[in-house]
Amino acid sequence: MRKVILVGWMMVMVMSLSLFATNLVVRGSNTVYPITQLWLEAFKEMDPEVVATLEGAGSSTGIRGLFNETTDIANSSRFLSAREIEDMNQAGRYFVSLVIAYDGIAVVVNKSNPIEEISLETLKAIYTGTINNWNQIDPNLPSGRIAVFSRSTASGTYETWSEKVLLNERMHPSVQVVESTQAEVENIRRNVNSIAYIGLGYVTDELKVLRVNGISCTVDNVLTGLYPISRPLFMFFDLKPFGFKWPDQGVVSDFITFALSPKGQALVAQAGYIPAYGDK
Amino acid sequence: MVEAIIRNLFRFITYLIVAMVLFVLGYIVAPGFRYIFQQGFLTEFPRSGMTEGGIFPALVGSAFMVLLVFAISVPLAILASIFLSEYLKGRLSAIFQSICSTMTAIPSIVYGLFGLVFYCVQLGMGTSLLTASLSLSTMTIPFIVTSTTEFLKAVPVDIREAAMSLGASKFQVSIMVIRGAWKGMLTAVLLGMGKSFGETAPILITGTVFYATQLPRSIHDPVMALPTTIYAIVVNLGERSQWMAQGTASLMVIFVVIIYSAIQILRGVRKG
Amino acid sequence: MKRNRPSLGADFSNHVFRILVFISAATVVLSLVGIIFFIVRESLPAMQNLGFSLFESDWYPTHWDASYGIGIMLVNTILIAAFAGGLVWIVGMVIALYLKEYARPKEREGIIRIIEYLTGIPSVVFGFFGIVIMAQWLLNAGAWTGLNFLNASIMLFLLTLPIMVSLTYQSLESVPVEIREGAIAMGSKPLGVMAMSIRVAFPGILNAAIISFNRIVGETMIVLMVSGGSNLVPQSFFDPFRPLTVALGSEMGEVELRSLHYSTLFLIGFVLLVFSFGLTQLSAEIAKRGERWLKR
Repeated sequence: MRKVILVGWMMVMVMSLSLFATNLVVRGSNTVYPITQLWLEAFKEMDPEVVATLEGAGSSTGIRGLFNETTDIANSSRFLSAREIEDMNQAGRYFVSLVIAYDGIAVVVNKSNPIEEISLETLKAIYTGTINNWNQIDPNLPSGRIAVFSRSTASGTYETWSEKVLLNERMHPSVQVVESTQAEVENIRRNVNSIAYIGLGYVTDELKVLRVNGISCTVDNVLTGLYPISRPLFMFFDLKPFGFKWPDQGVVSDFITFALSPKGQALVAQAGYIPAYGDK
Repeated sequence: MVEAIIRNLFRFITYLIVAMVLFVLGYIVAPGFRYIFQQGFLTEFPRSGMTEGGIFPALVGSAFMVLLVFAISVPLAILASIFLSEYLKGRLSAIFQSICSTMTAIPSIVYGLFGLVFYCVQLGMGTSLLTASLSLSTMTIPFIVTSTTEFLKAVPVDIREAAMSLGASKFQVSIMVIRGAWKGMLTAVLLGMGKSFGETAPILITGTVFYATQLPRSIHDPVMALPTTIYAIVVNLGERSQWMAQGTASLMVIFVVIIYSAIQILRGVRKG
Repeated sequence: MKRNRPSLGADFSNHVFRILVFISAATVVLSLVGIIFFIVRESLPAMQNLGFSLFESDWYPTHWDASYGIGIMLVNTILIAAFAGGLVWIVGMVIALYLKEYARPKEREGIIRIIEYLTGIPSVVFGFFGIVIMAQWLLNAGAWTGLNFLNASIMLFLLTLPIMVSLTYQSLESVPVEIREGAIAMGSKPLGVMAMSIRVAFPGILNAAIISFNRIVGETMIVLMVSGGSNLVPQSFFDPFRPLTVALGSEMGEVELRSLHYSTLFLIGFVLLVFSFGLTQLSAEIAKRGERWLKR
C-alpha cells in the first residue's frame, strides 16, 4: 500500500515537471561567485519571493550548463572558446555575453618572500616546470623549492592563465591543482615557498602581489589594459528560450538589469572587483 | 617481562591515538559550538556573501533529504530483507546476500555517477532534491538490508514453525519476525540514515547547490545541504566566512552524536 | 500435522505481500545491474577510442592536444590506500588487541563507546580540518607544501581507524572461549594465547583490513580537499599528489555530456567499481577459507 502511494506520488511529481516554477539558476565561475552571491542577496531583498540558486564549480561548468539547459545564467571568467562557439552555432543557440566586471589576475607570494616583480616568461617557466627553485629566478633569493599552485581546469581563471601566460602549453604535472582560491590563499599566507595566481578580488593584506613585467596589478592598470594578465568577467545567457529577442521581462531580465545597474555595480566593487559600468 | 612491555606499549598507543582523534575533533568542533548558539545561525539565511546570517536553508535541505531517503529506502529495504530471510533459501539466499554486500562496498562517488546518468539524465529529472535523495537511497538500501537481515535471521526458527503450524500466513509470520527483531532493525535504519546524512560526494553532483534564495518548494528544486555547504565555504569563500563552515561542521558532529546515542540506547535496551 | 488453510482474505494479503516483497528485492538487484550497465555504457567510448593509452601518465583532458592518461592517478590511489590502509591495519589491531586482552572492563567499555561514535563522523569534517589546520601544522613542521600525501594519509587514517578497530574487536570477540581456555590449559603464556586469538580471528581481521582499504580507495572528499592536486607520484611524504577520486570530484561538473573527457571520468568510475568488486570477492574468499581453516 505504501508503495502504491509512493509510486503515485512520484508520478504526480514527475508530471508537475512541466509546471516548473520560475527559478533563476546561476552557475559557473568561482571568481564571479562572490559577486553573484551579493547580487542574489540584494535581489532577494528587492523581491522576497524570488527563487534563485547559485553554484560555483568553475566557468566551464556554467557554460556546460547552458548547453545542457540546466542553468539560466552562466558566470564565466573567460570568454567562450572557439570550440564552444562552434558547438553553440551547430546547436542553433545564441549565448549573449555580458561584461559584468573587470578582474586582474594577481600573482601572489608569501609576505616574507623578498621578490618584488616577475616577468611573464619567468612565470611561464615556473608553471611549465623549467624553473623549480626560487634562486633560479634570482640568485639573491634564498634557495627553496617553489610550491606552485593553480586552479583546476574547470576554472576560467585557469583558462585565462593558460592562454595568456602559458601560451597554451601544458602545465607541469607537479603544479598543485587545488579546488579553491581560498586554499591557494591559505597556502600563500603560510608557505614561504609558494606562488599562485588569483583574481584581484581575493587579494588580502596578508599576501604580497608581484609586479608583472614591471606593472602593478591595480584597478587603473587593469582598466587601461596596461596590466598584462587581466580579463573581463562575463555572464552568458541563452537567447533561444526568449525567441532570439532580448528579454524584456522575467526573472532573467530583471536580474541582468540589476547586475548592470549602478547598485549592482557597486556590489562588484564591494566584492573587490572592478565595476564594468561605473559605480555611482 | 616481554608481556609487560607489550601491554604497556599497546596501552600507550591506544591512548595516544584515541587522544589524537578526540583532539582533532575537539579542535574543529569545539570552536564551532558557540556559532551554533549564536543568534540566528539555525534560523537565518546566509547574508553578505556568507559572512553573516545562518545556515537555515542547508539545515532544511539536509532534513528534507534525510526524510526523503528514509521514505524511499526504509520500506524497500525492510521488504527486501524479509524476502531474503523468509522467502529465500540456500544458494539463492547466498547470492542475494553477496549482491547486497557487494553494493555496500561500492564507493559513494560511483553512486553519484550512477545517479547522474540514470536519475538526472536518463529519467530526465535534472538535478534536484529528488535525484539526490534517490542516489542516496540506492546507496543506503543495500546497507540497511545487510544489517537488518542478520537480525531477522537471529529470530529463532521455532517461532516461525509454531506460527505456521497454527495456520498463519507468510505475511503474519513476517510481521512477527519483524516484531522480534525490531531493535536491531531500528539500529540498522538509524545507521543508514546517519551515513546518508554525512555523504557529500554523491549529492555534490546530483542535486545540491551552494546557495539558494528560497527553501525548496517541490522535490524538483535543487537544495542546499550541510556537508556541501561546508565544502562550498571552504572552497569558494574567504576568511570571513570560514566561521560558518566551522559552525556547520560542529552541528553535523552533534547530529551524529545524537544518532549514535540513540543507537547506544537501543543496544542497552536489548541487553536489559 | 494437519495445517489449517488460511482464510481467503489472508490469502489475498499474503499474495500482495509476496509480490511487494519480491519487487523490493528485485529493485535492489536491478539497481546493481543498473549501476554496472550505466557505468560501463558511459565509459565505453573512452575504452574504445583510447585503449591502452589510458594507462599512460599524461592527464590533460582539456588541452587542445588532449591526453587522457590515468596511469599516475591509479598508482597514487594504490599508494595512499596501501600506506594509510596499512597504518590503519596495524594501529587498529594494536588498539583492538589492547581492548580485548588488557583493558579493564570499564576502560574497554568507555573506549569502545567513543570509537563507535567516531565511526559516524562525516569525511568532509576531516577534510575541513586537513585543509585549514593540518596543512598549517605540516608547514610549521618544515613541509614545503601543506596539502600533501602525509596530510591525506593522516586524515584518511583518522576516518578509517574507528571502523577497523570496531570490526577487528568483533572478530577477536568471536573467537570461541574454548580455544583460549584450551591454550591456557596447555600452558601457553598470555602472549601465546593472544597469538592464538589473532590466528583464529585472522580471517575477520583481514576482512576488516580489506574494508578499510576499500573505503580509502573510494574516498573522495578528503583527498579532494587536502591531497594537493599534482599529477605526480609523490617522492616524499610532503609531496602533493592526486588519486583517481579527485579527478572525478573535481572535473565531473565541467564535462560535456558524452564527450571523451566525460567518458574517461566514467571509466575512472568503472575502475573504482572493479576495485571494490575485486576486494569484495577477496574478502568473500577469505571468509570461506577462514571457515575451513577454523574447522581444522
